Amino acid sequence: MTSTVADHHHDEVPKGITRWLFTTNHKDIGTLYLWFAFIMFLVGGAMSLIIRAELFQPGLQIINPHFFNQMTTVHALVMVFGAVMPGFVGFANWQIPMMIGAPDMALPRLNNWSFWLLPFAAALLIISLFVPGGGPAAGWTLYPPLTIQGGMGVDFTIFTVHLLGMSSILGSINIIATILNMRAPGMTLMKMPLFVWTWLITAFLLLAAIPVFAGAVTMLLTDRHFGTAFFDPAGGGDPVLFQHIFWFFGHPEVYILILPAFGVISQVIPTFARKPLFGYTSMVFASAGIAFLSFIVWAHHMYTVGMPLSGELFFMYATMLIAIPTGVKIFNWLATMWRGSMTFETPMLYAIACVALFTVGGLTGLTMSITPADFQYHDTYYIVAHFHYTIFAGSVLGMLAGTYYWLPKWTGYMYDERLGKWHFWLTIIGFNLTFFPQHFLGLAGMPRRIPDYALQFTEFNMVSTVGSFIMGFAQLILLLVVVKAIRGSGARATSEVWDNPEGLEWTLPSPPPYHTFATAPEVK
Amino acid sequence: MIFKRLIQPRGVGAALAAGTALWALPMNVQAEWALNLQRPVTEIGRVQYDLHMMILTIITIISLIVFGIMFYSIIRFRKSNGAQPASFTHSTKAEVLWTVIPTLILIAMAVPSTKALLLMEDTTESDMVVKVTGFQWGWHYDYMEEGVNFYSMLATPQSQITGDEAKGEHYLLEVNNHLVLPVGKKVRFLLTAKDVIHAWWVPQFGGKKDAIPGFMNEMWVRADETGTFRGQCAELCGKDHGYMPIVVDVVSEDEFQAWLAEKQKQG
Amino acid sequence: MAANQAQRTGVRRTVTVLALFVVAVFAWSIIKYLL
Repeated sequence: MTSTVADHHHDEVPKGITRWLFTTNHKDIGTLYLWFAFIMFLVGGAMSLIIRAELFQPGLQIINPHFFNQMTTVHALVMVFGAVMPGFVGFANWQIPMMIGAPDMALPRLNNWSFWLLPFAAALLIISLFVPGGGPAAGWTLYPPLTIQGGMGVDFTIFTVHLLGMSSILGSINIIATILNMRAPGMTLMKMPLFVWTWLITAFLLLAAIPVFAGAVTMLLTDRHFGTAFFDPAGGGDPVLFQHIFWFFGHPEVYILILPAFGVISQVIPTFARKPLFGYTSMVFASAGIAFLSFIVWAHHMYTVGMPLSGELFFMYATMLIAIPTGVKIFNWLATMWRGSMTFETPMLYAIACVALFTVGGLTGLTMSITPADFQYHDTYYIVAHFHYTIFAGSVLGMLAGTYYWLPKWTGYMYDERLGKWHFWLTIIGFNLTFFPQHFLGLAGMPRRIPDYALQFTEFNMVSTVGSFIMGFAQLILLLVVVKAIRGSGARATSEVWDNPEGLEWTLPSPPPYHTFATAPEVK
Repeated sequence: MIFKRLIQPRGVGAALAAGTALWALPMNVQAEWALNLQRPVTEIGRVQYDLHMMILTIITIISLIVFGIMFYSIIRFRKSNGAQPASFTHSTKAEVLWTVIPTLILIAMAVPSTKALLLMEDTTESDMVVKVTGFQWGWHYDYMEEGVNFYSMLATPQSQITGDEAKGEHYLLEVNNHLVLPVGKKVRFLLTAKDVIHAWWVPQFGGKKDAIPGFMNEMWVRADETGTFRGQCAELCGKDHGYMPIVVDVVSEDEFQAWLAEKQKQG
Repeated sequence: MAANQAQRTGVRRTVTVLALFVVAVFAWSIIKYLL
């Protein structure tokens, strides 16, 4: 890789609020996305603490069941669509142009619009909690006929989904156009950093999945208000049809959440193992394989709806296959660590924890692929534990690894390593205390989405609630770390930041100038 | 003891039968700190349980290998130990190995799972039919051939839920009218719902099935022993989803006939 | 913005194809249940 001096001739940074409102700069938009995601992360986290507080002991203490259902629903929607997806788009905005040697995203003004749709969508969702009848309370899966019963909060949610979906689609088109057309000379597809690869694949998943979800909620809307009966059995509709459409979107969606995290991990581990990534080519193919499989396994989320036997068998076999490319990825990361020379700064700690805990989530996922056993696991806390081990331990820990990894590059200052380690250990301990016992609760027979439970579930619920408060409040440390780095209270970061990391972004100064790679670098 | 309960492989051979007695003791009641599935009392439940334990054993072994390699690397290949980085980037042999071995494990898992599914879906040759209708928020049971039907709803008083009164032993898992089934008879359930989707689930019977308005789903249960078994609605169905339990009394054939006659007289 | 002419043409083509794809998926996801 060549080292490139940035083009300084028009590097004046706009000032004031208009900088952020009208910006077309990929770094500014990346920053906006990341702050938005972090705020949503705290909002969704606060909701989860309300849920956990109510579940601390049996009986109703704090909130009523209807509000409880709103909390579980909105917590999920906020975390999935407000925190994790925009968070990774933030990473994509900051990193992809710098990693492929492009001056900016291919469509900078569209980029601005993709972001500014989000705050309005989020506001709509939050406002829905305060309208008559309250927010959506049918779970983030929005299954009819229950959703059709809901108040106008459900309509707010449907428009939220439309706006968020539009934002994701525009963002994805932008990312694909950037990656396919804006690479520096010599940056062939198979030389791209893995983070860029996983985002390219994710963007295609988004384009194929989100319009289907938009279609599903649009049909919900017409069922609710315009007399159609797509899903309403009272009018001859089919409620199971919604589940099929939803999960045709929903399963690719979970890989949309996890693939960019895999990309981040594949950048972080080689840097701190001081050894190139093991099996680059197989990583690319494994990601593509996971993406392909994600479209033919959706019905494993709904084995209990009463499918024909042949359907159950097909979805069982297809689901089991996902274990293979996922396993390849885990083993590749292990092989990257093998015979390396590792140090354990905060990003590496998060990356290792991500691989370890995602393995737990992946393996419990394998147990669920076995259809007969899933008839027991389905809709219990075992499922809740499983998907938090994949979405939190996979996506969110991956995002935290990336945050600590690139924060010195973005701000120009090293973060506070001591606070970073505190944040790491409190998060990991809190997370496992919260979610590991939920495996036991689910197996012992506790259904998910209940505000109150039988007495034999008390002990583990108490443990879980204690863990969730540790994990929740630990996230304020991250806020402190980021603010300190932005205000420049740490040591100055060098352009490489770490020990000889791979990638074009490390050839730029820290922080990078406002405009970078105006002249494309040569990649050998 | 707790660990034993977690890893006890069951039904894999006569040699383990002795261990089963040990395991059966604490799991019989709905215990505090319970770690595993409730003790199954039907053939389907046992098949699911055995599959669950088989997969749990496999994933425990896999995770021990993964974590073993990971922690070995963390300890052995750290810079502070003076480890020098190697520079290899691939190994065809290793990559083939960790693709082929998981494939074989998956095939080994698929065979018994397929058999189990065939068993579960076979609702033929049933001895009696009970139609279950979920509604917001309770269950309606209809013994179609015997002409007996009744509603079954939560019996826990509101004062226990709000905490004004001490919670009883079966808090939230008690109903006004129990479903009564004869022991050893294959009962075919027809499930549907009046308003929104519910799911009928008694963990010890093995698995749940959705009750969907406009649809008629099927499942079957043959309880091997008498006793009282408790479950809950397992599909979010609105405000009182957490308050629609299921209680089933499995009784001897004679008791069942007596109960039926009594119900028919009332009917 | 420093995209050169070749890049502009490429971006335009990519965007056209992707936009058509999205519209088609969305339309089909509803229309197929109306037919």
